[in-house]
Amino acid sequence: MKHLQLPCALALGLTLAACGENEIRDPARAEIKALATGAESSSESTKNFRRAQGELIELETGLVNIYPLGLEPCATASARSRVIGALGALLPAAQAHGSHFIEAPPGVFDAVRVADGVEQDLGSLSPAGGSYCGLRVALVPVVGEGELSGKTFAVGPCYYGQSAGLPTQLAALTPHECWASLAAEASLERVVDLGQPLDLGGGKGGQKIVLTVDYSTWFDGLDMEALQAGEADAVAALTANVLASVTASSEATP
Amino acid sequence: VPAALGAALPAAPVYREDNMFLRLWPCAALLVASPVWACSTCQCGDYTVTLMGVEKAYAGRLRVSYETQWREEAQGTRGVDERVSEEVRQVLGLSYAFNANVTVALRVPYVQKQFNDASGGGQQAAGLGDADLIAQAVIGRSRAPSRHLWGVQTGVRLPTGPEQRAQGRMIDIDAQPGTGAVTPSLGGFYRYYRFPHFTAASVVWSDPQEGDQGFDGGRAVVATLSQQYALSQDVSLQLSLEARDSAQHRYDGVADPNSGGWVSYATPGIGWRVAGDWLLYAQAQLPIADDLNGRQREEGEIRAGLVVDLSN
Repeated sequence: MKHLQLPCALALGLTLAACGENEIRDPARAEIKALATGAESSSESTKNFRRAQGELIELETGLVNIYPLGLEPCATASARSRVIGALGALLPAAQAHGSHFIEAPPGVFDAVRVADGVEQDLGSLSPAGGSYCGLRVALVPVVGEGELSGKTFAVGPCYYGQSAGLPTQLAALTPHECWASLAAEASLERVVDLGQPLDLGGGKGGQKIVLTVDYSTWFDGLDMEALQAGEADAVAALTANVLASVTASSEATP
Repeated sequence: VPAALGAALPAAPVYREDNMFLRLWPCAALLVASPVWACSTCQCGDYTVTLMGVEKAYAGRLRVSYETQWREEAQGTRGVDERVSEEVRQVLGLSYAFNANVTVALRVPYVQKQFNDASGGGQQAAGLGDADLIAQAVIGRSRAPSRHLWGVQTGVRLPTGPEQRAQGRMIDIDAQPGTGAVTPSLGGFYRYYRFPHFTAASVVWSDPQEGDQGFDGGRAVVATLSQQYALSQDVSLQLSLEARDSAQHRYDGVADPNSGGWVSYATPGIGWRVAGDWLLYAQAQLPIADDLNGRQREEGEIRAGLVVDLSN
């Protein structure tokens, strides 16, 4: 009997020491959304706008593989762009051919066939808790099968070269050329300013970052003839414009 | 004296109250290489030592032990995607020697685990862990003076720890007290007795099978070399070198790059016979060298416990 006292005492101690509670604490998370903007008018298959030089453009294809790489702490974030790959390696970059519909692969931002203002899901980030002032985004090649495989974006404009200064109804009657798609292979990344610091962690709940892509700026300042011809410099300029068209804002989620 | 004792071990209870060497053997048992759980399936150190003892067994010896272990490890990059895991194990053990050559043992852990991610998230759970069944057999010993002894050991870790849930969701495997896996092990040991010195060495191989949540711990080989010195009849000092080399863990068949590799520790310890057959001990692992895969660090383990021999 004496010998049973110790095991009992040990078992009791073990039981008392074992009063832990199970718990799951969800991490800080920032949902990344993107929405398109820029249309003066639109249909189910086109977005119409004027570029900075005044010519009318009907955008028939606007697929961009925008990838959120990570959040930039306020101590290091600054508005900047830098090239990951050599822009000189951009395709025989532009491939001009007859316009046709390209279906957006999952996760690829569609500027045309999704209405302006409608949020598209680009995933989420779970960074370390802290204060962030920038979102690093990149145009990266699409992985997988399909026409966009290996391409960072594909755009298909109808360009009304003699429409500058004309009212929209008349502009639409001027000569134009349509081509698709201008697909680039090189990657490009940039830190997008969040406007105000985004605080994550510390029980503050989730956050949502909304990227606004203004496609009406994509063709600003470009040599459209060179672009249609697929000249590397023109496609590089288009790539830079596409990335520069992205702005960001953040908001708390429940 | 050691030689005579070595030959007379079946009658050891007669000597135990009177002979300093016998009184210190339990200390040796406690201080030589002890368990380290690098994770639910990892180990560094020979976990049979504390429970089964390294002294020469005698028929009918029944031993009860209680040990508390604390350890911490981390994977990932600090401040970016690091996951820091902390684990406290409270282990109740029972061993029985059928004779001088064959000993069996059972270890039942109660485990409290938690991890914290750099993202601010984390999980914690507590519950019954995976129990160990171990058998040890002496297969050879030197002639008188019987200072050398060697043998084999085998064991199996059983999936006795039920999966834990919280807030209606399953706790991640990294915070589960058990793994749901069956883990067989096989090894050998050697011991050398020459009071006040005592030396022990062992090598144990283990192969965890796939467990809960698609987790499959990597195969591991654990080597332990320990030296003890008895300061007096009641106090012993010990220093062990413990090393583990393991394969990467796999999750649903995919290798975890931040797992597996080689790690080694120097483990100083002290044992104190507080009264009769009651022995207290404490040990701390100090990392000395490693070549772990990917981004991971192991801080070593701190442990303390009590061992009591119940048989007369």
